Amino acid sequence: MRTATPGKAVVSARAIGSVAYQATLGCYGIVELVPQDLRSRVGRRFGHPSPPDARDGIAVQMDGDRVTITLHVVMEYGLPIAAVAHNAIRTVYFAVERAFAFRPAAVNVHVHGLRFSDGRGERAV
Amino acid sequence: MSAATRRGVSVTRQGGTERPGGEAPTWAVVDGVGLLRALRAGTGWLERNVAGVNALNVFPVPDGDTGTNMFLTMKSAYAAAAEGGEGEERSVSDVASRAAYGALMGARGNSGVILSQIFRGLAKALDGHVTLDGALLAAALTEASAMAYKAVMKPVEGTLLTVSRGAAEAAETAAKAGGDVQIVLDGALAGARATLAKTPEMLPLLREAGVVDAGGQGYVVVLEGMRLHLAGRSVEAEELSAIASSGAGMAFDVVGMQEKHGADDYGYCTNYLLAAAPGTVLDFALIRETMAAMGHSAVIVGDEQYVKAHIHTTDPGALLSYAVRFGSLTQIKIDNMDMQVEHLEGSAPPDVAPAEPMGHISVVAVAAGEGLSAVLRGLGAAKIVRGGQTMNPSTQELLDAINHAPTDAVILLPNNGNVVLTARQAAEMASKQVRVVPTKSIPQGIAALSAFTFTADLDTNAEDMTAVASGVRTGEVTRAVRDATIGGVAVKAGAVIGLLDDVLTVSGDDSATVALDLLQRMDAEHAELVTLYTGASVADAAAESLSARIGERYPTLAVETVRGGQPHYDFIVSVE
Repeated sequence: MRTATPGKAVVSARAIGSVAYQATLGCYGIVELVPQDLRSRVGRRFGHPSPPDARDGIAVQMDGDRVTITLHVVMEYGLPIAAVAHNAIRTVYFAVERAFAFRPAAVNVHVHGLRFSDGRGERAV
Repeated sequence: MSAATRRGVSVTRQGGTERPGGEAPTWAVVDGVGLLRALRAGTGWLERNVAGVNALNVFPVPDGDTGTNMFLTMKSAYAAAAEGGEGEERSVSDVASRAAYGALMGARGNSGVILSQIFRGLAKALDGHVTLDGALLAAALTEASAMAYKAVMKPVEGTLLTVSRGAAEAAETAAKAGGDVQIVLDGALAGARATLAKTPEMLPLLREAGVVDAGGQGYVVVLEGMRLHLAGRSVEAEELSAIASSGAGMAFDVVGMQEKHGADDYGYCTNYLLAAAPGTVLDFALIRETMAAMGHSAVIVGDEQYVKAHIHTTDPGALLSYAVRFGSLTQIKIDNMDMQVEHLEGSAPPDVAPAEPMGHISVVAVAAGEGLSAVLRGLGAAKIVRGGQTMNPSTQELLDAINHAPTDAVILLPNNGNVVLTARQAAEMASKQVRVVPTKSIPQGIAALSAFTFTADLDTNAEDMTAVASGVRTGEVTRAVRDATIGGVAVKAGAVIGLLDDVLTVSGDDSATVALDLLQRMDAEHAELVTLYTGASVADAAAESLSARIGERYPTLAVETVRGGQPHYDFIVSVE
């Protein structure tokens, strides 16, 4: 049998965030990720969104081996929010586990708003 | 317009709506009750096919509940729509908006959520309409797909989304040609099926698993249910095989093949386009089934005029010969995946990650020569250890192969009398469960492999394989390395000799004559099949000539020639 070889792999919060971000982009029902840093929020408020980053709207907290991922999102109006959130959680779990071979301790979804895209205004937060 | 015609679909259940004058039923227009009953049929048909759809699920989370989720969503949509009753005054607008509400409230899983958005689009397009005609149906399907695409930032193609768009585009085409509800729905179904068949090309995950998208398949099933209803057939009474024989059913076949063959990329990747001979139509279902049985990892799409095939097979010639009987072949492309794999193996670091296990037992076989290795791999051997008569593999080499095999239970085929002992040693030293099937020759190994079944346990397999292998007689043609007289046969160094089950039996001047001599002693005239494995030093012409001579001498015997590529042995023959 193969023996364990010494050495360890270190995964950064940034790397986990990137994987979670890509997975969230493909989550059905999520139409926007909401950046949480102050500069982005102020910029957005005044109509100057900062260039998109590969971790926008994804917060990764690492506490020893415990990894908690929070998705800050806007969803499409008219979809079952609980089901969309549930799907997003499972998709991110799956993507992170597939990429890094560990399960996050938790994946949370923070719904910041809903978007109307059927003629009743584009966005209401 | 009479009430009977307006409520076309609902009246079908009583035997079809007839135009005044007794013409064939027409589905120019469907009213609210008609739409409601079509929804019920779609839901019922999905319910009956839930297991098939569940079996496909690999993306994005391989949890196998896509069919269940879509069915529960459909059921909720239908139940909400049905609350409005079956009154004559019901409009399609009312049915669709209630269905959309029900789908929203009952949406389960990713596919269910997308389905609820599709219903939302349908409801939006049908808003204010009392009845539905072909053009409105096409517009509604288009709005439904567009609405579904809106709710995601990065649409993943090769999913339910793509299939909904394929359906909508085909429906629009049918509607522009003036199609009624039935024709437009036919178009939508054909478009959905065609798109579904392409989903493995769009999503690598589907491709790897050899399936079409589960959500897309669910959508096709719903449209099929509605179509069956429109044709006056009850989905409760319909045979489930109706779906398996349609283009959409391909995935179910592929799933079955994966279980039998494993996801190994060995043999020849064979692609072609078959066009029906002029004036003829293709029996697509039969052709697909036959072709799929001739290889593995098959993706076969088509209709009555064309069949596009992608199949991994160890014998591309047989596939082409079969296909060409039905018409002309174009876009033929055959790649030798063994060469690609061997190239990869040669350049990979020694400690490569084991392949995904397919089943709980894997087979490690010893062989020399590319051709023999390919045959063994084609039959399902997970690992090949290079070795043979004059280059016996070491215990360590066998142990490495066992450890790198993808499963914890391993069957070892030494395929040479001199390797059996080493194999037993390796089996004892390994920390995995290993059984040695003491095959003394390649033909015995091949026979043993063909007796292997994924479903049986390790000991049963080992017993069955040993029993089959021991019944195979092997003739080998090689050259003597020194002068000797064994068992009354005198040979000089360099002379051609024939061994029958490892015993020196004949000698002669040329290998073909010795091979024929061996065959005679192997009782070939009473056999059905002789397999000839040609060595690395044998030219194709010499092999063909020997094959022809065997054919002349034993006219009733089938001769199969395999380019074994083994060193030292000009020919290895087996008789069955």
